[in-house]
Amino acid sequence: MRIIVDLVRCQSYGQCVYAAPAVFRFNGEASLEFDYAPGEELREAVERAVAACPVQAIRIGLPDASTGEAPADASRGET
Amino acid sequence: MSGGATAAGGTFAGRIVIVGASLAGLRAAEALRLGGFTGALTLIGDESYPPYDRPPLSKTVLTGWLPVEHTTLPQFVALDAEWRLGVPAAGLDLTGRRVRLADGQEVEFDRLLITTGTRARQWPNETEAALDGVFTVRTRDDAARLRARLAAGPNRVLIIGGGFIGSEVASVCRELGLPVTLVERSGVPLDNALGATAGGAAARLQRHHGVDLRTNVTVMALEGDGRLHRAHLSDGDVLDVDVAVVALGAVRNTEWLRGAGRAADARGVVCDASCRVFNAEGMVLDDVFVAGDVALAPSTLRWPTDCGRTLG
Repeated sequence: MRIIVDLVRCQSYGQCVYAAPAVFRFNGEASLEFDYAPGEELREAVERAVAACPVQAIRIGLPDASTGEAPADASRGET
Repeated sequence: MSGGATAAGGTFAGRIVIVGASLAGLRAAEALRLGGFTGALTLIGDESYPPYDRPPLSKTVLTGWLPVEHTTLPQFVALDAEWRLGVPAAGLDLTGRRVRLADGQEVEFDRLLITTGTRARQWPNETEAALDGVFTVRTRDDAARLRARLAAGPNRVLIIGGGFIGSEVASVCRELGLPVTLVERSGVPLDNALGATAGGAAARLQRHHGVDLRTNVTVMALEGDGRLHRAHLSDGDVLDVDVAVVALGAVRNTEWLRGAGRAADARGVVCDASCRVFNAEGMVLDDVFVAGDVALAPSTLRWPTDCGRTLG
């Protein structure tokens, strides 16, 4: 799965770190680091983190193909 | 061709081409679809990767915590778009409404969005820049290469330029326990971005964490025998270094627009508050827009989602 955190919205509450410590962590006191592509086995923990964030800064993207690659040729297709 | 052009919910149904397939291009494409645009959508990108996020390239990718492939941006909207990745745009024919690609192909458009962004400014001496051990940090490939070199444990890293990228890479080096010298031509790092007071605080923080910070100094030359070995500073000092990170800012990718008759130069593509581009005579063009890092806008806000709404 792919996620993104709006680091402007993030206020370093850290609820995501409690919910999914394998995905979110702080560097120093307040700077959030996160894995943009956590494994599927972490989905439940990530969804808890999304729900727990007081400023709703975390979003989960659409399910994509196994590589997440967009088609690189001229054919049209869903991404 | 401008009849029916409106903001969100507009009736434009022609073909929109977006040149530049990174964050701005992707979010504009999503905004178009969310706004109800149903016409043909093409995204052209010079890199062969789908859109990815750049900020972690100078942070968690360099420390090794985040695999570089993980930086691919999540998508929130099914785009139904044609992707042409790995081919740069080489020219623009405004009257013919065509983008010319570097491989000779041409892509026709009814409306065009330019989101070609920026590239890292390279070390100005080409021979020195080609030495093994000299890096810039802008692309995914850059970050992967530099990460591998940092993981190999260089003796000393030289960072040329104390802006955001330079300061972040210095921080990464200290996190990895690597000796690092940061050379900044101003009196403090981050001077342009944050000013002297905050820059002074940054300097203290850097030195506290063991960065060998040199200010009011420039790097005059890099020396090596195929591999980088030394750097010569303007104050006469000579450093033994095996890795140099050139962090001298970004250059807007506007060269492909040369000769297209628009208001664009090396400083960027000039646009108005609605992301519309001006031609060389200063007239606003109806069907050409710009967003993201490549744009020179009247305000500092260049949100591609707003441009997407205008575009559709």
